[in-house]
Amino acid sequence: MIEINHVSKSYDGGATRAVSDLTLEIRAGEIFGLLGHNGAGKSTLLNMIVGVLAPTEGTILVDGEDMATQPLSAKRRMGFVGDSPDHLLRLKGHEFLRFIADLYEVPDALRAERIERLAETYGMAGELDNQIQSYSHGMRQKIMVMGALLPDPDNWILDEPMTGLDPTAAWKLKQSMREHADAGKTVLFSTHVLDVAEKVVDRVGVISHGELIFVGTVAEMREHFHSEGSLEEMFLELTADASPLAAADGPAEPEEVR
Amino acid sequence: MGETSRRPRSTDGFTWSQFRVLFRAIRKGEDSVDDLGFSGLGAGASSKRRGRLPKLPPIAQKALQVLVFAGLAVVFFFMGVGLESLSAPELFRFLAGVLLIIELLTGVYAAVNLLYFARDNAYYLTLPVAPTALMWAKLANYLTKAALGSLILLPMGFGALWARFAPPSEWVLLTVAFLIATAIINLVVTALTIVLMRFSRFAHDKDRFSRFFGVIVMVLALSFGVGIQFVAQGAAGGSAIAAASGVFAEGPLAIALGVVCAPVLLADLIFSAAPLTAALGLAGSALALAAWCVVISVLASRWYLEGMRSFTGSGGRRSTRVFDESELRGLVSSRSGLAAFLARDWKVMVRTPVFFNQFVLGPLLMPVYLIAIFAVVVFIGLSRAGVDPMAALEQVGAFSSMLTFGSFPLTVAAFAVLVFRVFMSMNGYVTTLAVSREGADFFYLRSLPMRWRPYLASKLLTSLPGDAVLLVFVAVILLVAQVPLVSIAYLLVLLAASSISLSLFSLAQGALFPRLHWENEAQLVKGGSAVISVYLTMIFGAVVCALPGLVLACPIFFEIELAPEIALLGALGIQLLVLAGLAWFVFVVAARSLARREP
Repeated sequence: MIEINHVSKSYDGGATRAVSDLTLEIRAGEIFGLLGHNGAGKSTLLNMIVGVLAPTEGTILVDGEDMATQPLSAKRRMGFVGDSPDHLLRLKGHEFLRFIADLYEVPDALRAERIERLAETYGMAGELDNQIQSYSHGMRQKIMVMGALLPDPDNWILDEPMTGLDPTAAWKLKQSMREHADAGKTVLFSTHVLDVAEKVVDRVGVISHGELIFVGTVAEMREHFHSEGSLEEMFLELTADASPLAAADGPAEPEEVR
Repeated sequence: MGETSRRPRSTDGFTWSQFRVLFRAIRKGEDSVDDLGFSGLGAGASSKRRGRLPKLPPIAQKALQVLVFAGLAVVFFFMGVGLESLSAPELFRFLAGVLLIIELLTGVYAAVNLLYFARDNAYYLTLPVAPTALMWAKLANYLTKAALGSLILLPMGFGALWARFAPPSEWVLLTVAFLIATAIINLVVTALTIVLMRFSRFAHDKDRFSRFFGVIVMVLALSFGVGIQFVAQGAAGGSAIAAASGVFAEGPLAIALGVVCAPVLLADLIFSAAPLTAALGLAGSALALAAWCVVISVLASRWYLEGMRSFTGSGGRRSTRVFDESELRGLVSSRSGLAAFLARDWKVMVRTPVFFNQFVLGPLLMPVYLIAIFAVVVFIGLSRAGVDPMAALEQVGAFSSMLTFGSFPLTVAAFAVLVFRVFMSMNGYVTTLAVSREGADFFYLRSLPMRWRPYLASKLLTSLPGDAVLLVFVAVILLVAQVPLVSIAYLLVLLAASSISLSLFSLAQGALFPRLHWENEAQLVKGGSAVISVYLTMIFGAVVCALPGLVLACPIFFEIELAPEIALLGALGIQLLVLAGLAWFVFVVAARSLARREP
């Protein structure tokens, strides 16, 4: 479970507010989709959850561990895939996975079996002996996903995870997400591909200009908008400048529909 | 019968305006990303330069480049003074020969990088331009840069002419002949490169290729540094260079040079006193230049674009090996945090050619450079003084026996060790840039459950090989000099403690102020900021060794009554305290800073 309590992030001495007084609880056993236009604050929020950025105000708890005071134990409870897969390019696939396993202290007895299974699932079995820099963009994304899933953490934080994945790998990732949530664990992912989000998520949160303007299921969103349209259509309406929810001083609380 | 591949025709849509546009774009656009040379001075990485010195304006960058070039020109000028005994043709042959060797050793690498490995090549190939326009724009860009770089040797010729009061005509003829020879040699190197890249499989592995030439460039740079010592030693140095010039006067090397660079064969005509003969010589040289232009045109039309296409996205051989579970078990067994960080950092450093050359090869070759300098200075000094080296060694042994623990000579020796350590501090920039090496990967690491103390410890350890070689070098010198063992142990512990202190100080500086926003590795190790880092580490060296040095200096320079044993133990004790303090600073303060550093 991830608890985000009145979190804000500002820069330049408060002149720029990337995230503003955001409160959200992502429950165990659900897939939560975070939607928002470019620059809405999605990546800022995700980076605060994984500890790369420190909130200016508020707290973030991961399974009860405060990210600010217990960063090591909080990070061990989650696996993160960022929006860019171009990391540690000089390591070979198996070297990268071993490094991740060492950081997360994955037991020796489980490593080989998990890596073999993940490699087979994502079609990377024949690539582990090559440097990541020789991989295509999609393959780099796969190895990052494998690295995030290898420790089998309770919480998965995925920033645009489908980008660059081939249809088979994307389908398998979605399956893994569903299985993970069904096992009582947490998946939080951000995406621009609303068709995917619509099919995968249990709940969705819409962020705009650093504020959470809607939290609920897709069905609840349809009910709220009295619309049978797609998530994409509702999202566009929700985040349009003319949206009543995008008023100058913003809503006091997000439109959480229960 | 299948369709044969069409060779690009020289008139295949080529226009001068396309050529000009492409040439301008390539000259400006590729400068800031792929250039590994001095034009990167002052150029920063991305626009994210929070809290650092502002980037130098372009005019200041150019001024700095001119200044550096002028400085080098002065050095070469005075090196050339030692060639005054050579006649003008002999001088010209020597310069052409040196240029050919340098271009073969470094020009091929530069040509391959600019012509084949530039990242933008894949983009250029998508543009609606004539292939020949692109080809000539790339070639012109490379040849312009190469020719300008080659001109650095001309001051050497001027130095020789100046030393023997040569008439103005010789200055003019040398300049013109050298310019033609420069152009021809660079065309030869380009032709060689095109052929090499067409047929060589080794060149297709960019990393291996870059590492190989990195070694060559490093060796060449060290040879140049040693060569400077000959100049500094005056007459003895001059005669050595003059002796080397004889190599290009006759023999197989001279023949090869003549075949490749025809002006060398015409040197006697060019520098003839008769104007008509000289004109004929120059005309012949110009014809040779034209001939090589035709050769390049033919080779490039046949093979360059084809090679350029094949290189976009190419890398080394790829493995298709599939590991079974038992093999994986061996490959991914658990390690301590320190071992994991160390293995990762070392692999990245060794596999990245720029990091390998700067942070592994450089520090390891530096002691070799020292030994060479030491040997040159001692050998020339002894020769001048007419002293037999064996007799000198015996005298050194007699002096060394006085270096017992608690003696005044040992105090002096210990002070000399600290001075030596400060002098060698330049190597410390390896540690200063240790965290910066991560670049954008640092923020990915921040998202992982990192333990920053073992991380910093691994950075410290990866920078120690250079210091270890230095320690061995000093140990060998002391053993050969027959210094008492207890004194050797003391001096080595003092040197090790000061080395680790310097590394800790450099690491702390690098961890508190890392440069993480660079787009390619060359931007990190080249440029104004890197030069500043080198000099900063010398200051760090002086700082960490200041207190122990002061204690040792008391009885030596300040005539303060301090028993040598007290001075020696006091200095070592203080150095160890400095080390402990710096270790706390690194593993507590700097570690905390890293744990909180944001993009």
